[in-house]
Amino acid sequence: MGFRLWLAPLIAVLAVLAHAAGPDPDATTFAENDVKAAFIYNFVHFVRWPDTTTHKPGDPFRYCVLDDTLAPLLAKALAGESVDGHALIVMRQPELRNVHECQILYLGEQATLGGLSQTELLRRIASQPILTVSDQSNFTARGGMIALIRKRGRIHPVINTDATDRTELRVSAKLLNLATLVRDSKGAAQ
Amino acid sequence: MPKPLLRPACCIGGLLPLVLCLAATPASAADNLSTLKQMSLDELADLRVSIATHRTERLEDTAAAVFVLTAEDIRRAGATTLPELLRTVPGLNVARISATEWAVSARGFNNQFANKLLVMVDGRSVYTPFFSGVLWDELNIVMQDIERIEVVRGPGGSTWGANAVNGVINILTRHAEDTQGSQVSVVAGPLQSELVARNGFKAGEAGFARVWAKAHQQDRLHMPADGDTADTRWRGGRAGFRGDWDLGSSTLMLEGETFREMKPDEREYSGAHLLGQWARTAGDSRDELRGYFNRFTLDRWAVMGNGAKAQLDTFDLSYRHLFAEWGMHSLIAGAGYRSVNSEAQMVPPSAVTRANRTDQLLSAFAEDTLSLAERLKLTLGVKVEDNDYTGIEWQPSARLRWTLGTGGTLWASVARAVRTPSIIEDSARFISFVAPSRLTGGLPMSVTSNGSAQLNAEKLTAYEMGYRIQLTPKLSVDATVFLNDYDRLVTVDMIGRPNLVPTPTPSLSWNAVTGNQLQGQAHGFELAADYRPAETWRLQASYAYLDLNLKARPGNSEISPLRAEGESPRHQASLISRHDLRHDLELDLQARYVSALTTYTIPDYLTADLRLGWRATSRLDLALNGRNLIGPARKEFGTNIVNASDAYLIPREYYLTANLRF
Repeated sequence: MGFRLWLAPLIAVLAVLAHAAGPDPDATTFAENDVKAAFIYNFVHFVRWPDTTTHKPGDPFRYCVLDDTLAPLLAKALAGESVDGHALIVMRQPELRNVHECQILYLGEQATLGGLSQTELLRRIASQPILTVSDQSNFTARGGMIALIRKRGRIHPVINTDATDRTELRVSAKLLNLATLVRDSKGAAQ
Repeated sequence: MPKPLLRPACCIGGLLPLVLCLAATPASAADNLSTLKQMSLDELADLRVSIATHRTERLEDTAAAVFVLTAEDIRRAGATTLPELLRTVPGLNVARISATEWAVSARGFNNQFANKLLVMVDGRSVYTPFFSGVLWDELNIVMQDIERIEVVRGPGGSTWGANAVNGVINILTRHAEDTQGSQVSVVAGPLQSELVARNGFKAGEAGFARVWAKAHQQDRLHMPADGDTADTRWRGGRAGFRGDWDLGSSTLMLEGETFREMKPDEREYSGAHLLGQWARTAGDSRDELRGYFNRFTLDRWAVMGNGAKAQLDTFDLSYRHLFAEWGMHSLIAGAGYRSVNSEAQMVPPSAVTRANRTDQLLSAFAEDTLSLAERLKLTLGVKVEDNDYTGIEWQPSARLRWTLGTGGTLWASVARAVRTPSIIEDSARFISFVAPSRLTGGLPMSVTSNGSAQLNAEKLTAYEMGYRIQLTPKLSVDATVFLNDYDRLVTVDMIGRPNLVPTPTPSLSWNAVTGNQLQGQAHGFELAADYRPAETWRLQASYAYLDLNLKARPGNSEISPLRAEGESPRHQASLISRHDLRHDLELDLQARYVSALTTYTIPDYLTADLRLGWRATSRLDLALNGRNLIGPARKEFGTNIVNASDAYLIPREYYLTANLRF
């Protein structure tokens, strides 16, 4: 048991050093909505939009967020970020007639646009290159593309590949391999 | 560990929980989001969200040299066997010997029968007590169904018990909920082919299940001397299932498998296992109960003589309890029972003196993590085991972790671990024949080596220290130094001088017995860096240095330590690049340098693997893989059995993989 002799001075030294002030990194935990915001932020890197929507240089890349909780979090996450010269911005209240300007559309549970139900809205924009995202478990069954659902204590993406394949959007292998894939016919996320 | 300092929290079955499961305190940091933004997709998906509080727990780094391979790392490695995959883990030494055999170890003592690395699949030990070691060809797991692989370099005896001496590898398969739907995977190439099919479905209201089957073939490799002496073909098949149920406050997992692996004229195994795991979370405490039955049958193994057979039936039951935090204490304790019933039949005059035996193992452990100060944690653990070979073995450890204000983590540990003797070392008698040579005076010689029931366990006292830090959002580095002090290492000791046997024809006969006559030290350091120049590009570099100095214990000057010293490389380096060229194209490079192995006169080498992955449709992935692309076919290792075949040349190889989900 000689190691205890070796250990004692080490503990003593480190105990003294540990009083050096600084934030306690143990105190860092993550809220569920922060994790969702980080996921949505990341989608810009793991989905390809058709060249026709990568408009003029200088145009922003729009995250349209119809959710009062996530919108400020995403605004914070996107602040100062850009991809290929396009600033990433959050639009909180897009008009229905302008919805085609959204590259990502996040629909919270209560979200409506132009008086349409979410199912009607999803049907109307089904062929447009707009990545539709939500955290509602039945979202993919209603024609939505990506649902971020909580599964065994983790945030897990469910992707309706029929919905993405109807558009010119192309989801990366990394995201597809991570996700649960569903189709329209049995699109209910567990 | 070249990763951001974030890991999934307490998962049952994982080996991390016991080492590093530390309860998180409520959030205060304002830059959570920026930390999350730096994480990769698979790291985000791995974060645990607490249902009660809607908060994820951040799991701090552990006071050990830990590396985790995620499902994404595994997919992009393109490996079709576990040892080939383990080549991507910093600090592990992997060398291929033949179509079916690999030598895998950490921090030295690598060998075809490397016996200081404990390997588990979902908590089931696949380390065989028959000869001490892992049969990597028996462990022909379905790669697509691995959730992650946790690798600890260094001792883990205080948590996992005997044989976790130089390292622990824990393979965790995917939860059945994550493998819903159908999938077919194919590997096709001139040297190997494989077909895996899996179907996942709902199992009742609150459960999920999958069934799977795998068939594979690895083609013959060639000997260095003449191109035609070839290894035989390795073929095998297996099938299994896993089900997971959510029973409200508790969860239940059941899995099973049956397999047969064969290499005509050389080896043939079959086996099956059934494992159940139950866990209950009540408030801040947690109970985990696991039991399994495992049968392994060695139907043929030519190195033990034609006709040799063995069968091992293992029954294992373990329980552990994670106590709610109490003051500065965070305590985990548990107990376990294992019985191994073995029958061995050798070819006379070789024999196992106790051919039928039942060995029992009783164990108990406790581990307390003390929060000494705000940023200083001390984990004290001990495992005590009572085994039928060496009696009671104590394996204590002390691990200290200090989180610096700069964001780095400094850790230090002292731990003891033991390796208990195998059935072969304890009670087998082997006769091997040495061809006439100058050394034998021109006479043929037979060497009879006998096991010894007097063997002691091999003992290690390990001192480690490490530092890891996220230097910039894109760059993290990890450094570890270690000093391993070994004693009573098992040896085969020659007794006296060879005897001349005059009849029927003159020959020499020499006896040997297993002993504990070697001791020594290993020291070294390991460096790893993880750099992400862009969201779509990741670079991982590593270097490991090892210096192994063994010597005979006092009074045993005839023991030669040189053999083991020259079986592991002094230097190892690797560079891995994972680059998403386009949204649907992935280019992966894995380059490695391994220094010379003096025991087998194998020169140092540099080689590389490439993978080009193409996501053809939303549900079909294709990849072209090239392995060992630099230089000619080469030997990576040797064999250490008298009269056994030599190692084979490991060739350059190409194969296609396809993965279809529907």
